[in-house]
Amino acid sequence: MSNIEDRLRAELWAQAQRTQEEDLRELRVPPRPAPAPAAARRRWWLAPAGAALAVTAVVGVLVGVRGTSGQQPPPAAAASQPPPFYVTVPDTGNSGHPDATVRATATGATLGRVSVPGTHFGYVAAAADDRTFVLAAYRPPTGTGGNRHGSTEFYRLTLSASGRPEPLARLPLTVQEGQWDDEPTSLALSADGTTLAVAVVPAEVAPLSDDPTSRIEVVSLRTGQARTWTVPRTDIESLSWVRGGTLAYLVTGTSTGGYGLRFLDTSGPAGGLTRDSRPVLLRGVTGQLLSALVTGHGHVVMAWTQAPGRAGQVGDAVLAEFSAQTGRRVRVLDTLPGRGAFESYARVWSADPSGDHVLAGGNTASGQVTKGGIVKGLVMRSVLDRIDRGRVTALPDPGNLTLAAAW
Amino acid sequence: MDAETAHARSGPGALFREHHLELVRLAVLMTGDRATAEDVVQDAFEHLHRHWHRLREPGSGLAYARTSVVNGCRMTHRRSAVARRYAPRLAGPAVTSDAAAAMADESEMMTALRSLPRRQREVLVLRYYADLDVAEIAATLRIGASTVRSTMSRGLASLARALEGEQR
Repeated sequence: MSNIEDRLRAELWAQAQRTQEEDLRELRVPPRPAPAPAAARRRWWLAPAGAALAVTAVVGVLVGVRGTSGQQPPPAAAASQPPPFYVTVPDTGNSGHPDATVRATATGATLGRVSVPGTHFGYVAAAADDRTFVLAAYRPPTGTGGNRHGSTEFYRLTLSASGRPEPLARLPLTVQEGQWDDEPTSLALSADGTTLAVAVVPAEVAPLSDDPTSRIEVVSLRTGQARTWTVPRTDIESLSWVRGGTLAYLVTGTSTGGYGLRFLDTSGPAGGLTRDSRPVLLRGVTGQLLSALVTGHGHVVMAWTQAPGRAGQVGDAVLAEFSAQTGRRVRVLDTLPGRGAFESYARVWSADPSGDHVLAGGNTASGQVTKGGIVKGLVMRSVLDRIDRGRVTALPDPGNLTLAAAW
Repeated sequence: MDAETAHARSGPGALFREHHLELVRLAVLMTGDRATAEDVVQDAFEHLHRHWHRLREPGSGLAYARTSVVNGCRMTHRRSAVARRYAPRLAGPAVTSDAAAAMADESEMMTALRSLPRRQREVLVLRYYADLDVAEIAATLRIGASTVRSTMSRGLASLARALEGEQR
């Protein structure tokens, strides 16, 4: 080893020793997975946006999509009864068991599991018939080298009349991670099961000279044809079809402000997401909108909000119903208690066509709250609820944190 | 069970508990400022929390965390540069008092290291502080192994020239 290498190694070691364990602030533990705190998100937006999109809608390569061409829209489930089945995707980390589970609403019994070898499911969306679902499956990259990227594939799950899952069918859409680790953050399947909307956001913390964009893809599952609305890097979540060609989405982080719920008109040609959408005001929301879903044929917004708590701590996450017309809050349906600085992970997952029956949930935390809101000995518990015309009922323990659920 | 497998099973919390100090030290060497370094590592921790379930392979958490820290340090440098460019009267020196004191006490070697182009500095810190081999550095910086080797060679040569100049 040369003299310069010895000196450099010794000098770096000596410099590093100036920082000792006792000097460090404790790390604040966020929930898993959850949006980054607003402050951290805003830092992303210092990046001038700009990278070319690397997502590919595989037009014309219809892989195993069954029963879509010429298919009539499935009949809607009866409004007065909750959908008989729901599908959940548990968070299993790297430990395997990448199944999606089909359960009976009435009993909670497991009716079947599905998986795609080599992938992890991340999202699920349902059509109005409660028999047709779409699952997003992340496939890690293969091979070696420093520029490996994975992709997200999409599969149609069809249930029999008794809720038994049929073999999955690959859909004609693939989201490539690309250089910014683009990842889907939400799915919405149209009521007739023929059109899929996917929000895609760059996940990687990008160097500031580049310009990643976020987007919403609207894909015909009959033809594979895709249209794309783009916006400089913005966190987009909570897609839901409102009526006709209107799609609701929630902005939770952006470089230019404009947080909140928006309606996108997808009936025209693709283009700018902000230009083609309009904001939907929800009155009386203090703090952060965590998740929102438009139900009841576009008349109702169900939303989780989280108000600021005492210094350094978060408030409770509150699930409330709002009027989409007036923005007025109609009633509070559920609460997840805040704990220290622990940021709640709460989602409105899915609603039946009537809007009378909603799947929602999130996680709660327990542990000792210390100075600065840090939760020591953090233990998370997952909650999955069905809400039938305002009445909240816990569904069977989903086990690990639920990544997605739909009916 | 090795440490990486244990991290893969226990999640990012365990990984960061074990490597918090190491990652902050890495960020300090990249940024020159402990407070900034701690912010960078906190951001990396939150980023990994959000994407833990999508890690490309079990046991890759530490490598992913290092990459996030290096990226975060780059952003910090960029932010400082932008602040200096657009708000010179308001921003003032883009270092904290902590960093200023540290820099005043810095050796010729560290001064020379900080004068290197960003990628050369990153490669040298990852090699001679984090003790990563060429393949690991390539994966961390997402560049090719041959680029790592040539960058390391140029960086060492630049350091040697800078130190010779100081001694004249």
